[in-house]
Amino acid sequence: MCRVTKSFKMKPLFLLASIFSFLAFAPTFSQEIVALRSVPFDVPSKKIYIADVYDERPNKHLGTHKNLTGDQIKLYLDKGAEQAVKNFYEISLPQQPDKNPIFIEIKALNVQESKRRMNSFIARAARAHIELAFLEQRGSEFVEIFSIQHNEDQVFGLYDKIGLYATHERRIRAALEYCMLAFLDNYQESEPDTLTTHFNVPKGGYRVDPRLGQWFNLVTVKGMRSTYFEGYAISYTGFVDNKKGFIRPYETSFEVTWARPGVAADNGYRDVESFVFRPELYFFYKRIVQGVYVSLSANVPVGYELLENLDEGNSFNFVIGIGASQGLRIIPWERRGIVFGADFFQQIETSKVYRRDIGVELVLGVNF
Amino acid sequence: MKRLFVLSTFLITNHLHAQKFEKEDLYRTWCLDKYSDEEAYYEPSKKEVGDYISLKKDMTYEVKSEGELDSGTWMLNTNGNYLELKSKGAEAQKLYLYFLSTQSMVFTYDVDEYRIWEAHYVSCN
Repeated sequence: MCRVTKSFKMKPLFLLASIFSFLAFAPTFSQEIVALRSVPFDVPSKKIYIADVYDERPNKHLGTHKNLTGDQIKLYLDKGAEQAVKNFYEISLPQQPDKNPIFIEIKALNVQESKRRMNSFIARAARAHIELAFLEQRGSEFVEIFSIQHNEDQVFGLYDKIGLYATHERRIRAALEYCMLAFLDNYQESEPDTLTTHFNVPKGGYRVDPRLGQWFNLVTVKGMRSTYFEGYAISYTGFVDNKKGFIRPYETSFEVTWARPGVAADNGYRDVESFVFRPELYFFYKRIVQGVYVSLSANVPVGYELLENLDEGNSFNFVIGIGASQGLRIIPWERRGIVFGADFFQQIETSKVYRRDIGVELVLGVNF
Repeated sequence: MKRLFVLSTFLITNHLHAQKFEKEDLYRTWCLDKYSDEEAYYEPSKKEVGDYISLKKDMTYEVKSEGELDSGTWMLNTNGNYLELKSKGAEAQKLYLYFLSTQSMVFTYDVDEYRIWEAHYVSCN
């Protein structure tokens, strides 16, 4: 009797400890399931069927995503990737005794989301990435006869998160269809009259960049000092990281500067303040090493000067010009952290104080 | 601002089309008729008059774009609702289909500069 009572008292404590340890150590990701729709596609050669699919991926999910309610989740294919892919192909290539059995290894299959610059705006980018190997059984061995990497990319409006999220499934189907059509066009046993040159294997094979570039948001404050002015600027910069080639960031900034001591008086004013936006003509980042970027820009400073006259009257002066800058950005922490950098700049403006000006900017901000 | 509105509304609606496209409907010569966005229809420019896309059954195509001829191979991705056109020495071009009948074909180019416009082609036959 005593033992029963003791056991009864221990249970809540044990339960509490279990919950605590679960909350402390369990992964914060929940799961969401993606069911592939059964949409058949036109297959030029029907000499094969898919006998089996093997999922060779170390992680069996489609990636970690924020769902529409903002929760971090892991996406999985309904029934698992092996069964889902087999079922999908079976609709277009049904199993029949006179056909050749083909085996598929899934080397990669995931869906991704990022942002990128589109013209003068920011757009959302989605990708389904896939890598498949097609095999034949010869005796007791499986022999790889074709392999392909493929991306299905699509662009969405910045505010169309729902549309992007809802169509991950469609891009997976499109990627599976593309890979099968490419395989059949290169399969020796296909009917010759169905073959085209569309899927001729490129030099080096079907290889694609497996990852959509990471999107960086930078909010920075710039302290500026030039021959004639000093002040500060607030900027938002967004860009997709890219190891190779030039990166085209999106940037918008606003500057407030004022004439340095003596400059206003030399030009016949008590004080001069300047308020300027700086739309870019060209703006590039180039990654030097991870986290370090060189920046180059040509821009059009446009705004106005507030001129305080010596005789107590104020006047406005519309300013427009052309500017250039060369600088460095250092982003030590990829996900969230501090950004710092420096720029040299030169500009020609319709200012009442100067025509040509050069200066430096020190940049401090955050990335997220 | 108008351009931004058109861009955002167009891209929001671009996934809503769910027609299943039949390959047989594509085998014909398509003549450029007009362009449209969310607000209006636009006539092709003078140099685009007479532009066409001829999609052949042997999966080759011929295209006249701004008066210039080009040719290559094409494919339909039924699940992705797009055509892929490959010509020699050029990158593959994707055309997202929005509507297809034996008389009319509407698509958008997968190119940032033209993404906000739908291209309307009609059967030349």
